[in-house]
Amino acid sequence: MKKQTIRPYLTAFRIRALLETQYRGAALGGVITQAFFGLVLAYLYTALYAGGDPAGLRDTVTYVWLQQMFFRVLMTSDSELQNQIMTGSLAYTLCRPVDQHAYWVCRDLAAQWVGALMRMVPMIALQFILPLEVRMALPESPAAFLQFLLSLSLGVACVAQIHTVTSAITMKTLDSRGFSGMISLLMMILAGNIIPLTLFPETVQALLRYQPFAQALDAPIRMYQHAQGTAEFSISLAAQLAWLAVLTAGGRALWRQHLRSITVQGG
Amino acid sequence: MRYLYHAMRMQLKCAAQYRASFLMQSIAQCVMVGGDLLAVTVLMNRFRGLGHWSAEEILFFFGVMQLTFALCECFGRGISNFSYYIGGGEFDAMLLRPQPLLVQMIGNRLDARRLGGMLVGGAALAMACLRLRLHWTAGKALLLALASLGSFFLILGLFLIEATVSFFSVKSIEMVNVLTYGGRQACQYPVDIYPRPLRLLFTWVAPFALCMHLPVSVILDKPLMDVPIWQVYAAPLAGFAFFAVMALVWRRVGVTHYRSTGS
Amino acid sequence: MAFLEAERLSKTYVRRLKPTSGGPSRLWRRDTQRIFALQDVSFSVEKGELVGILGPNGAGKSTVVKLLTGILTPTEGVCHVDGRIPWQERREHVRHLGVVFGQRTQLWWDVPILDSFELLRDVYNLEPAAWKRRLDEMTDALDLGGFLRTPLRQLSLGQRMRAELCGSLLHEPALLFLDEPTIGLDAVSKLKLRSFLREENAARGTTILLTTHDMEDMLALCRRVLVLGHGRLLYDGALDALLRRYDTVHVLRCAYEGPCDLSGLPQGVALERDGDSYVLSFAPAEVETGKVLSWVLACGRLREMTLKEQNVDQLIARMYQEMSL
Repeated sequence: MKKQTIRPYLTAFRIRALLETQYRGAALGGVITQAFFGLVLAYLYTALYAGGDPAGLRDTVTYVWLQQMFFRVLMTSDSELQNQIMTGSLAYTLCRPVDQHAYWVCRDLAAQWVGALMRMVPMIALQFILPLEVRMALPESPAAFLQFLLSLSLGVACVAQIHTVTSAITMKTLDSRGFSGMISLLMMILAGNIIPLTLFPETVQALLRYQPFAQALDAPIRMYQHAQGTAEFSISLAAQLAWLAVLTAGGRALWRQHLRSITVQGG
Repeated sequence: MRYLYHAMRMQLKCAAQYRASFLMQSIAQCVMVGGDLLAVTVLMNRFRGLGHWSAEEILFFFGVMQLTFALCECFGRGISNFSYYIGGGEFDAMLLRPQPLLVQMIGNRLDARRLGGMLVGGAALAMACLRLRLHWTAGKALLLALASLGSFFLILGLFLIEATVSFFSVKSIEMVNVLTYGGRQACQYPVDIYPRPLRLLFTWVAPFALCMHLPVSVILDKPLMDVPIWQVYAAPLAGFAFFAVMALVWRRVGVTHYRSTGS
Repeated sequence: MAFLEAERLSKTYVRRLKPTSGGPSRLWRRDTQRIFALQDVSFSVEKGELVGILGPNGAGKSTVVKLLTGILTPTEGVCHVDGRIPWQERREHVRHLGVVFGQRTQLWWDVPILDSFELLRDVYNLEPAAWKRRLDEMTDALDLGGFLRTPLRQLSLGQRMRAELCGSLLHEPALLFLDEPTIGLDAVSKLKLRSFLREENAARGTTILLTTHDMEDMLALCRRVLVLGHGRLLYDGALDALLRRYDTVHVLRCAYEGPCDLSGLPQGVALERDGDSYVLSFAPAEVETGKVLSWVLACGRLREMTLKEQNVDQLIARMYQEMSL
């Protein structure tokens, strides 16, 4: 019984993952773009740090590269869902006997993970040919790396849930362009993609670290750079788990409400 | 010319039909450039300057770049979104009109929402000017105008590369985006902070250094290069040259390819 | 040289195939396939002619139109329109060219159509006075007066098509292409459109090339047709001759009140009994329809009668079938 109910979601994951491997051109384009941005930013920070204390430079460069490497994770990835919302054909998928919210989350997770892995390999290879001063550093220790992996999986799950919340809002407003543009910008800034969150003033940082977008990449990257003690690590994981729970519950509620209104209005 | 003016007015009329949506999207543009402004402000707050450039000077560079880029997106949308026209058959319609193709591309798509971006860019520029207490002369004002105009055409030229590529493959657009958005990102800071290969790239291939950074550095009284002043005035011409070359490539390679393979 | 002359036009596309099998090499291998969209098509059209282009979907109709309008260049062959090669002198060529696509608008969606016409004045560099005169004339002929200041998106399909026609004729083109102009229109709009096109053709000598799937359009407008199939020109000649060739059987069904005398059946007519009515079938090319009718009337007191002509669409379907399209 249990096995039967989970199968459609596994299949959704598998199919979307396979589809993602077909987008090799997009992946190559992404790698070139992200590599260029990473390089420019790395040199920008080299120049910025050259003015004063160079202590944090290595960390910042590493932060930049990890952000670029996992950029795919942040992108609102399932254009299929956007299309279905805008054209209204989402109503048809309601006929399928699956949990809509979970179904689309599985697809999103597949796209994020496979897309990120596809881009990661060439980005890591690139590190070997870069000049030393703009190369990213290895994780501080095996423990730091393990913490990073654990936190990253939670982070990716958080982003998938953020996507469902934003798509729920798109369902309501039906204006995807202005809104999703703003959301993705907000995401880039607050996730630390445009500038590392570690560079914000200390006072703001306390707040920035615990907002939902920071759970995606900022939290794992901090662990990659410095293995955290039990207390700090627990707080960090707790924050991620808490956001994951809140976003999931909120997303599900919004979806349920919207899907019900579709069935009531008849599309 | 009369056609171009009339066509643009028509675009504004169309946009005015959807006032609320237009307003929303203009604000979105404001916020987007505002995000970049925030990033620069945070960095300058943390580091107090970049190389031998002060925070205000960096803001000046930023303002010139954002203002020019928003202008390009406003007038050059027909070029930067060219891949849609090929897919949607609009390019066929352009081929059926007795006006130059590039003029039609510019005239058919005026994107007034970019006013939001221009406002933020302009505000950054104005703020930098105020804080710097620049000593303005007619020559400097002319230099600023030349720098903007030269960079304007340079960026349109970059858009044209994307447009040319979209004749061959719509999918590889993402790869070419690096030219435009990467160029904007990298060159909103003066080119001398970068190592030699990037400096060469932005001086001789996509000459942001010549069109924008050199004249602006002279306005700020910190010349990037030790060259006679007339060369500073002439440098933005590189942008026009870049545009001319790319327009030729677009025509000879792109349009010719389209007509021989069709769609 | 004729007004429009196409000589051995051919157009080949190379299509890239996504390799589906073949080990790791499929990541970089490119398989290609040549597609012959048009092969060796030659014809000529005199000034003032009204010519229909027929053919099933994918036969090469739109390729011909794109070549003649200069949107595409042929792989081989050449064509001249009014002495010009379309793809070499694009701007001069299109200045004298009008095109209407039934499924795509060339006017601006969100503004009153008058604004669109004003912009077209500048697009074609027309003298304001001449433009005004022409616009008034077209407004009368196409009955646009009531909605010149209405945005295109608020117009009905029929109004929209009339506006499109006006837009494509403002610059008084010598050659007009119509691609499915009556698609989706109601019967009244179709009739109006046809009569307008006939008048435009008669009054100005505008050469018109028409592609359509609507046989009524063809019958009403074109005496000459080109039939394309698989990229080849299969027929070039009179429309009625083409129809006669495939027009085989008429079926007449009749029933009588009281007795009837069925002797003296005309030669070439087959007679069958179906319940209390009679079914006669004959080929109109061999037997005059009038002769059959008068015979039927003479037979007795007619209660009811129907004459079924084979419908033109069926004819065309048969023609495509026989040409193995």
